[in-house]
Parts: sequence; C-alpha cells; structure tokens
Amino acid sequence: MTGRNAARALLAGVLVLVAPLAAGCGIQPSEVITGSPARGGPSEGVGLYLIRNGTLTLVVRPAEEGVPPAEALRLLAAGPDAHEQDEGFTSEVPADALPASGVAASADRSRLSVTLSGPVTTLSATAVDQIVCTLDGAAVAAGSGQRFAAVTLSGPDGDLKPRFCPRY
Amino acid sequence: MKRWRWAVGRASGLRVRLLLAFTLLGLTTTAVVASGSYFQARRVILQQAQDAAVVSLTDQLSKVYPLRRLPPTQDELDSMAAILSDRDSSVVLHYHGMRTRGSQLPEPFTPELREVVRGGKVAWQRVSLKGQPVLLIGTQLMIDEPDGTSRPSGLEVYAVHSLIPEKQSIDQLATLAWMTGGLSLGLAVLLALLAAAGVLRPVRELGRAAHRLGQGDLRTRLVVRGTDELADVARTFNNTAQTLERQVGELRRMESDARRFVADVSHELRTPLAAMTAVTDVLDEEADGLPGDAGRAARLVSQETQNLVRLVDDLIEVSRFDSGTARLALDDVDVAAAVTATLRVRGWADQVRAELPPDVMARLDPRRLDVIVANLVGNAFRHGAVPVSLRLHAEPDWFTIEVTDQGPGLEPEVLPHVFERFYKADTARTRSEGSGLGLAVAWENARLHRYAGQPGSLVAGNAPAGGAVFRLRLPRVADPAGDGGVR
Amino acid sequence: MPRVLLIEDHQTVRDGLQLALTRQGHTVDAVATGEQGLVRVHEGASDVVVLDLMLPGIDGFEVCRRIRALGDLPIIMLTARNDDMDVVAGLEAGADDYVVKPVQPRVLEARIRAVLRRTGGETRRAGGAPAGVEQHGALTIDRAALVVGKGGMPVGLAPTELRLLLELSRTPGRVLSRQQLLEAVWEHGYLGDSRLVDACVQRLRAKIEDDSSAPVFVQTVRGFGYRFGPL
Repeated sequence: MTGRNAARALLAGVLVLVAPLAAGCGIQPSEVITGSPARGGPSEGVGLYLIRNGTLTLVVRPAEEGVPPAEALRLLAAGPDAHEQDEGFTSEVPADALPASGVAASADRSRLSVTLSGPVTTLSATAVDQIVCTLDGAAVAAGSGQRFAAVTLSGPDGDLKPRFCPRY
Repeated sequence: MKRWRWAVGRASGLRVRLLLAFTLLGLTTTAVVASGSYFQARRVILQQAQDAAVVSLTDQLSKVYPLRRLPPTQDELDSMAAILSDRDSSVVLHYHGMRTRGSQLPEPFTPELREVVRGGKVAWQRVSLKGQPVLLIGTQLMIDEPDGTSRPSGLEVYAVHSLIPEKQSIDQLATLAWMTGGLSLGLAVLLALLAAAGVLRPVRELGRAAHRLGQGDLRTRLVVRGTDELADVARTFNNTAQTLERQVGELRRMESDARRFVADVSHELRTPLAAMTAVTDVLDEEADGLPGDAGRAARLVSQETQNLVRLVDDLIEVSRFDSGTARLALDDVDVAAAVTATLRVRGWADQVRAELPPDVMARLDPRRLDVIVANLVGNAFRHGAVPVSLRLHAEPDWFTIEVTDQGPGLEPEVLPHVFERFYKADTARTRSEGSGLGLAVAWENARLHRYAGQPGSLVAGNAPAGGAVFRLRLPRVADPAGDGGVR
Repeated sequence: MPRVLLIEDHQTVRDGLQLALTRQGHTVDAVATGEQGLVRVHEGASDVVVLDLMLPGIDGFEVCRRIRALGDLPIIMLTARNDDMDVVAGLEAGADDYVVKPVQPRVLEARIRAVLRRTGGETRRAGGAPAGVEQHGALTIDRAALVVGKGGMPVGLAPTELRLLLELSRTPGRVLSRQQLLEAVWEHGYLGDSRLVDACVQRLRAKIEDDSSAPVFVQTVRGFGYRFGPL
C-alpha cells in the first residue's frame, strides 16, 4: 500500500509542477493596465458645450485664433449647427441668452461673471451648465480665466449663485 | 493480484525509490528554474512589446492635432484612423456614438478598457482575438489649453496591436524550457541509476551473504569498504557471522563429543559383554543343576546379559546413524522370502498372518530389512494383541510392508513420539523387553534406503477398526550409498 | 576333535570363549598376541583360527595375511566393532568368515563347524558327487582330489574359495544368488553378509582369472548373483 501511496504522491507532485507550465504557455489575456494620463494637443476652434443623449458634450467649431468668451456665448445661444444636429446634438440655452456685457474676470482669474440679456432664473440647470462650461473653457482659451473658475450669471431678473463647470 | 503485489513490491524497492527521488528532485529543480526563467522572460518580452506599442501610438497621436472640429465628420474620423494605423496595428476611433467606418475588426474593446479610457488615462489590455493574442491600447484625445491644462475631447482612439511576433518568441522560449527540462530529467535518471548501483551493490552483497549464512555457510564474510553506514552494517554482519560460527562450532563439537562418548562407552561395554556372553550358555546349562536361588540368579544373569547385548548393539547402531557412517550393504533379495526367514528364525511364523505375494524382488540391505521387520513384529507382540498381520504390497518403484496388531492402538499423544529413542508409550508398564531403541533404529534403517532422492519411510498410525499400524515403505532399487552417500 | 587356535588379547573374553568352546568338545589353544598365534600356526597344531582383529603388536589383519600366506588354514575373524571397514578389510586379508563380539558360543561353534566342513574330507563328500576331472577351458577341476589347475599348473585355493568354485562350477551357466551361495558355502541360515561372497569371489578371481577385471569363469550377473561361465 505504501508503494501505491508513494506513486500517487509522485504523480500529484509532477502534475503540480508541470500543470502551470502546460497551462501558462504562450500569451495569456490580461486585466486592463492603466498607464499615464492621456496626452493632448492643441485645438484650433471654439469649444461649446451641447447636449447629446442628455449629457454635456464638448464640440469644437473651426474658428480663427482668439475667440472671446462673449463670442463663444453668442455661438452657444445660436444653438447647434446643421452638422451637429445631424449628429444628435441639442441645446437648452435659449436664443436670448446673449451676453449683455463683456465677461468680467477677477484679478486672480478665479471668478468670472457675465450679465445676460435674457432672464437667468428661468434657465434650466442643464442650460446653466452649458453656459458655465462654455464660458469657462473660452476664458481659459483666451487666457482671461482659470480652469474651474466660479462663474456668476446675472440677468434682468437677478443673479444666480456662482457655479462651476461640473465635468471635464 | 499476486502479480500486482509483486509489482508493488518491486515498485517500493530501494532502486525504484532512489530513482523516483532523484527524478523528482531533478524534475522539481528543472521545473522551478525553467519555468521561473520562462515566466520572467515572457514578462519582460511582453512588457517591452506593450510599452513600445503604447509609446508608438501616443507618439503618433500628435499627427491628428490640432483638432478643428468636434464632432468630426465621418470622413475626418476615418482619415484620422488611417493616419494612426500602421503595419503592426490598426486603429479605431470613437466619438460618442460615432465610430470609424470600414473596420473589419469586431468590437474587441472591453467595457473595462473603455471605462478607463473615458476617465482620461492611457490603458491597454491583452486579449485573445480569434485565437491570436493581441494588445488593445486605448486613449482619449485631450485638448491642451494655453495654461497647461487639458480637457477631454471625447475622441477615443483604440489600437489593435498584434502580438504574434512576441508569441513566436515566447513559444521558442517554451520549447527551449521543455528541452532543457527533458535533458535534465534524463540526466537525473542517469545519475539516479549510478547512485542506486553504488548504494545497491553493497546491499546486494549483504543480501547474498545473509542468504549464504542462512544456507548454513557460516564462514561467509563481507569485504568492508569505506566507513559509511553500509560499512558498519557489513562489519556488524561479519561480527555476527563470526560469533555464530564460533558458537555453532562449539555446539557441534560438544554434540559430536557427546556422540563419540556414547559410541566409545558402547564399544567399551562390548569387551566385558563378550566375556559374559561367552559363558551365558554355561550358566544356562548349569542353572538347572544349581540349587534354588543360585539357579534363579544364574538364569537372571544370563537373561539380562542378552538384553544388555541387544541394548549395546542398538546403541552402536544408533551412534553410527548419528555419525553418518551407516552404510548400506545392498543385495538382491526376494522380499517375501526375506520376511519369511525373519519370522521363521524368531519362531513367529505361526503367530503372524502374513500376506506375502511372491516375486517381489528388491535391491536393499537384507540385514536392515530384517532389523526393521523384526522390530515391528516384535513391537506388535509386546504392545498390541494377537493376531498380528503383516501385508506386503508392491508398487513399480517401491514396496510397502504393513504390520497391524489387534491391540488398543496408539494414543494420539503417543503417535508423534513412537520413533523417539527410549520413548515408552506406557509409563505405567514395567520396563519392557525392548531396548527402547528398536523403533528408532527401524526408522533410521528405513530412511537409509533412498531412491531418486527420496528416503524410505516408516510411519505409525491406527487402523480404522482399532489396532496400531506400522507402515514401512522402501524402494525396490535403493541407491547405492557410496562413501558419505547417506548422512 | 577339532583344534581351535584362539587369538584374543582380552583375558576375560579369551577365558570365556575357551571355556565355552572346550565344553562343546573343541581343543582350544588360547593365546594373547598375534606373534604367539603365528608361532602356534607354524607348529601346525590347529584346524581353525578364531582371530581377534584388535591385537597389540601385529594386528589381526596382518596375522590373517601371514596365516593365509602359509596355507589353507581356515580363519574366522572376531571383530569387536561391527565396522564395515574392518569387515571388508578382514575379508580382503583372507578371512573365511567373521563373527561380531559379543558372540554367542553357539553361533561361533556353528561357524567353526561350517568352515571346517569346507576343508578336507567333508568337502570331498559334499562337492565330490561326480567323480573325475572336469575341464572348463584352461581350468581343470578335480572334484575327487579337490585339486584345481590352470594351464596344467595347480592353483592353491583356500578351503572357502575352493568350496565356492565347486558350488558354482557344479551347474555351469546357472545363476546363483548371494543368499544361495551363503547358505551352500558358508551355511549361514539366513540373511548372511553378502560381502562374504563378494570378497571370496574377488580372491577366487585373482587366482583363476587371466584378468580379474574381465572375469571369464566367475561372472557377475547384475541384480541376481554369480554364475560359472558360460565359457
């Protein structure tokens, strides 16, 4: 009986040793390996935030160098163009949400404020986000604002509390 | 089952166990070393290949900047993919719902990968695509701002990078590892066999020596080599054998001394007995003329002298068997005639019912046959009861003589001892006429006749109807016992 | 009255045997050594010798050989040891018969009478039925005169040898077993020692055969016994 046990132990040992060799040969699938942050590059155009499938999405429209933030707001209020509409982009910013003044920035560029010609208290939350993000992005591109600056919207019907762009 | 047991016995033998141990050791070492280096090499190869592919892709990305339009048109998306694709990898771009057209690739990109890529990190993953290993690399195009920050553009770039060249390298590594393993396994077996032979040779010698010792060759000794444990065993064996030889020699010497003493005493008794025997006839003849007690005393002396002569004769006969000097004086005899003569000479012819088929010729020692038959019949008269019957039966190579009496038979506890010297079946009985050696001498005489390596026999038993049966079996042609033929 | 020469070194045995044999009518001349015995033999006063083998000085075998060299005097060996080597050696030395000590006087007496019958007149009467001279090849047997010649020369045979030859040659070609020969020649009632026959045949062959290893007159028949011829 000892012999049989020994043989069994031996077989087990050999299997334990050889099994990973046999199974581990070649290239095995792996988990997702996360590397460095993605690299970026310049863009030539003005960035606007539209809505696609209910979420805030960046679009870039070809533009000359240095589109001022107010101009970006004007483009936003004009709504998606034909190409963007084809791709399913919409906007909740009403056409009258035009800047009534220039975009003012604090000295440390951490706060932006703008006065719109249309009412601001009736704007949907999504619309506010569109405006805040577009304005913030344009201000950064123009060098007049800081990323994630606090944006204060004012209108004929009052002021909104300072807001941050919710995502990037 | 027996075969299997034998195989198991062999399998657990020292040689096999050594072989297995060495092989296992070799196998383990080889497996650990070969697999370790294999896995390490594979990791390095894959990591380098992956890093190179990732770096290459991220370097390529600058070609699609600056971004002019988001969402891109389908054409722009396709052209970007074309720019980023190269020989080793094909690239697919996603922008939210949009996807590069015309890609033959299925959608291998796992949700986990896409999750990480959407989070703004470069990520990669090895998957098996149609049975081939591929590396999936994903990244998102970011838009850098003048202040050094960047924001995600939503454009995701996925590259499918073939790992077939790496697979081939790794497979070569594996083949190499297997070959190394096989070679070292063979080497291990070879070494094991050598080591086993080295260890087993003294063990086998020891086994052979022990066997010889067991066969009775007490002079067996081992050559002691070296100072290891086996040498200790060999030394111990030698000491044991030496002690054994000495003690057995001592015992044999004492035994032969005792036997020689018996023989010498018997011989010494012969001379006075010869003188006494010479005058017993005189005593017998004169006893009748002597008055009263003197006559009885004379007859008694005469009677006991004869008994003493018989005892000494038997003692000398026995000592000759013990010393192995008993020899057969073979002659061709008619067994029936010889038995008849034995009975007639002792005056038993009328009292024994003898069935003696004629023409049973045998080559044997007639004197010894006479001794055996006389002892058996005499014993039957002494201890059994009449009628005593004697039956001769012939076989091709042997014949048997059965002597049966009508007495109570032999007690079961007596049976194993009837042929022992001086064994008295009935202790209550007064000393019987026999010398106490008669049956022992008869038994030795029977065994002295041999045929084809088989000795003659004399066995005692009981007849179904009661009464003791002694069965003598002798060869028809006994082997001539040459010098030292019978020991 | 037969005269017995008893050569025995043990005094008690010698006295006992002398006593017993004398009572049975023999004239017993008892001596203690081989040398004394040989002197008595030279004097020619004995008919038969009873010779102990274990003697001081010249041993029994040597005494036996010397007596045999002198003539046909019958010899009965007295051996204390029923030792096969002794018996064979004694028979080869020329003894006619042997008895084992201790011997019953009756037995010794019977042997003495038997051996004496082989000599002289008794043999003449027993073996000499058809008188005249027989010719068997080169061998001449005169049953009347008890003379055996070979190629015209007389052959000196001891009484037992002569008696054996007469017994065998009486029925040429017929096989006689050792037991038959023992009974006829030695007068051993039953189960005698067949070595007596064999030893005597050897001595006889040495005297009458040209080549005793390829005997012509006394032939061995394996498994049965001996026969005379056929020539």
